[in-house]
Amino acid sequence: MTTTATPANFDGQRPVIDPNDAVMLLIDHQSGLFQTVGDIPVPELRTRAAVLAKVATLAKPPGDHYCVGTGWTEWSADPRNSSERAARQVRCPQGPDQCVGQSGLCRGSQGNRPQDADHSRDNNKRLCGVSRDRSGPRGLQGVCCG
Amino acid sequence: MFAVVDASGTYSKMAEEITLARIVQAGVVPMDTAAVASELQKTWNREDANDWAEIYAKIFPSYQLVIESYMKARQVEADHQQLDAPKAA
Repeated sequence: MTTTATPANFDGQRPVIDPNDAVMLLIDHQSGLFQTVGDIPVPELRTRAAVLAKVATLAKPPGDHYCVGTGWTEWSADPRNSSERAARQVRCPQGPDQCVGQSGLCRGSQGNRPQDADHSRDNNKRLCGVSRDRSGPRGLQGVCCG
Repeated sequence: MFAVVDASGTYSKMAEEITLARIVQAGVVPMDTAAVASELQKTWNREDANDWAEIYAKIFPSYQLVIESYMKARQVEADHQQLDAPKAA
């Protein structure tokens, strides 16, 4: 069996994670599906999945979307701009198109580019959701309430 | 693109193996959870080092032993305790 494929999407670079240009996806890590797992001890799997979510939070990758269980969690943290770290968590139980806002000021930079940050910057309003920002490759944009 | 193999599950060992072979052939780079943590952490010289230590203790609990040895050594150093070797001499 040949397994000497070229690493995909690395443009010839060493295939290592760049914390400043990374997105982590936890796909279908749901309680219902955990019950079907038979190739690995479920408690260990569950621990590692939780650890990955924690690691992603610690690393604060840019414009990252975390999907934990059946919900999406969007952090608007831009590690290069500490003021953006104050932006709050948004959960999107129905996927990234329908998000339920957590409390917090509306200074969400939900896109992955600096210019996206300004679309929704209004510190006097509350962040009540995110919407898809079609202008960015994986951009989601903060939606202010009221 | 990476696949974190030990944080993924399926219904059988055979399904796991054949799927892994397939995605590797497609160019995905397989990783384990500790490798992901290490590459995101990059260095221990950061303010949240203790949080990262807890991460590794969760991934492989025996790492707690390393942490305890390190903490004890630092305590001996901080307290200026006499080492055992000179005591025996």
